[in-house]
Amino acid sequence: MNEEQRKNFEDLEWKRKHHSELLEKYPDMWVAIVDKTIVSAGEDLEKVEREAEKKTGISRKKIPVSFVESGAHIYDQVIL
Amino acid sequence: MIRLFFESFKDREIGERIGEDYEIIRLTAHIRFRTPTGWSKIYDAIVDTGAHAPVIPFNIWKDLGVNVMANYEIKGLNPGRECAIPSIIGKVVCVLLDDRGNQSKEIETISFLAYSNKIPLIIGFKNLLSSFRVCFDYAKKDAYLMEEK
Repeated sequence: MNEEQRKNFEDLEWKRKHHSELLEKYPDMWVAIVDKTIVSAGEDLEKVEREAEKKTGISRKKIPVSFVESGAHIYDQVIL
Repeated sequence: MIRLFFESFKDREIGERIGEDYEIIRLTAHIRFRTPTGWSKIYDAIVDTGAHAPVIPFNIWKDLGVNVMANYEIKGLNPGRECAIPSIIGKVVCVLLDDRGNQSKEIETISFLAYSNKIPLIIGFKNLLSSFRVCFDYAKKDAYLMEEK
């Protein structure tokens, strides 16, 4: 495993552990994570990656992204 | 063995509706896809034993060099067309991997490739979960895939 992959795993783990807090701010949005910090967020993954690249100077192809899912996202058609 | 990960979180909206804390537990895996020039970055995906095939958001699959097979509309619990997500069915090649350096063999799978970025990445049975022994024990926070020999 190279350094880039190790950092990606760490950032994705950080997101997993902070999902509840992130859900308050970013429900059903994609977030881009660099060094355990959210650098961009939004509903449109492409925009999130572009913004993250612009802010960090890191290629979007190397920035981990993850979806901050709420339960309602999957079941919103039946919870009325 | 490839490690899986639990993601648990409290959904405030559901909690408010039912009047008590509501914890949601998801099982997730790390995945990357073959691209025309190598491999994509690593994504985390929901492991969904209720999904018959993977579902991949547009921005993840658009650069993969997909072998397109058909057009399709993905529907969820509500089968109405107004809730459908336009997609195509295509073949992608992927590997599952974990933070300890374990990695599956390359797997070609038929996937539902959404024309939307507003959905999560989902791993389903087709060629993926069907290729492994899936083990999880939430109480012990232990989950993994074993490749069948």
